[in-house]
Amino acid sequence: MTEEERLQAFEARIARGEKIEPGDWMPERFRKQLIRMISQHAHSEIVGMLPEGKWITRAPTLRRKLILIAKVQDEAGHGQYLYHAAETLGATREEMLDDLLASRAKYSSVFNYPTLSWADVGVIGWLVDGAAIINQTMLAKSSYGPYARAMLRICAEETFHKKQGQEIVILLSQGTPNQKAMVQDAINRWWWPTLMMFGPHDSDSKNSPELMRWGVKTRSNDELRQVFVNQMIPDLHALGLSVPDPKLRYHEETGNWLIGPIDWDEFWRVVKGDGPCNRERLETRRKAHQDGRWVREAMAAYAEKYEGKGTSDRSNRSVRSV
Amino acid sequence: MTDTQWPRFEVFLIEEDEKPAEHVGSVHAPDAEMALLNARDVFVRRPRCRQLWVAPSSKVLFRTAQELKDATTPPGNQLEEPQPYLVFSKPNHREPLTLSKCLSAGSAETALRSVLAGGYGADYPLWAIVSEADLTRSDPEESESFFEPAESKQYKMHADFPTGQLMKEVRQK
Repeated sequence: MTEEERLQAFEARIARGEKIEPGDWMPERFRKQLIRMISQHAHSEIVGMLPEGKWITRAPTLRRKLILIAKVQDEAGHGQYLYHAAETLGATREEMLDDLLASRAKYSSVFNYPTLSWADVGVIGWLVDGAAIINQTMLAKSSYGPYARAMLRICAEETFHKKQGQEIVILLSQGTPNQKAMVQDAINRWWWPTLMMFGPHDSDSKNSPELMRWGVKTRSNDELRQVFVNQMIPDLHALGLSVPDPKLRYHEETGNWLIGPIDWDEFWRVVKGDGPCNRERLETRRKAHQDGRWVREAMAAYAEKYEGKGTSDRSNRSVRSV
Repeated sequence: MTDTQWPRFEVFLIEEDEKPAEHVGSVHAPDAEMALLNARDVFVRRPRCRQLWVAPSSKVLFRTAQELKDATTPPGNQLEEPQPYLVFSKPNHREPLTLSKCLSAGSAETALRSVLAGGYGADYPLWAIVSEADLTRSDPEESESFFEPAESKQYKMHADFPTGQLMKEVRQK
């Protein structure tokens, strides 16, 4: 078969709803796009532990502490599922972690904002994880088998994240005037960064058309963002809360809540490394990696001693998996 | 900054005693013993796991339907001493890659060929074959304590949070 025929056969498989598996023929561009997307997604889960992890020691009750520990532990697990999915495409764990720690990789810009009060934990759970679920539910239908499977697992657990956050927001919104003010302040700070999570407008998203043609994504950034806004606004209003958007209005004919303009300058500034916490987040990751070095060395020494091996079989790149 | 993340191990999980093992992903570890511990932490953060198996990724043969169709080279060395192999298959795109056959064969490739020759799973999209000797299983005797951290973890399910009911109450006020 010629390259052109292979590409046609590949696109026909996707059109039939088949999943592409690691050993199958795929265009190099498809592989590259997926590695980029999945590794960014994995990094987001790993860096995403930090803003909330900070509140574990300060959670107001033992129940909240247990919930938050379980949630942050989940994010670590999600990062692992996703690194695995990227590895099935030939990316190595070493390269991906190096890229993150050396500031060469991107991750979701929302995690570069600070968590200033306990209400932020509720708002991140409900809004940020709620937005993530909308995106991930779509990706669970993705044309690449290992990515879709990782997403299915993740979605099931994210529902817990969203609901624990929503519960915090509901309780604070019905609490004392101070609690109401605290949760409103958190929403004011997180609303726009959450909307930016869906990515640039369709007209400015250079990767979207290709990803949609190949079934990696099935809905556009703006479509997903609208689903999220329509889902959130009635609930927030019912709780007596508002969003910091003076142009927000209800559009009768479509039933959509229309938002005002998004500050894309801010978005690109944060994506390019100049958000409030970019440096702090990566410093924390680098330190964790350095601090864990002696543990990795001890484990390797243990393996060497008891197995008589441990240094062989290091050629992960040639090792196939699904 | 570069340092090794160790070899990869494929992870197979048994949810309930009567259910077959299914492939769930992979972990990195310096040896099989620590691969089991990492697999427990990554894949068993919710209940429902009776046993975990791991095998070095380099020892697991994965084959897609397309690869089987395109294969022009005959299956590998037939002269090897037959040994037990486990064959995992994925019946379609919804169901997991699940243990379906155990048989004796000279290589992973011949194990798969003989399953296919028997008329099983002709249209299945995905296969994984591993020799019994390359698998390490969690100890069933210790399964209670091994999986206890997930079993006894509290507030981990979304049903623990009655947000629908709470929203309803607020709206009625």
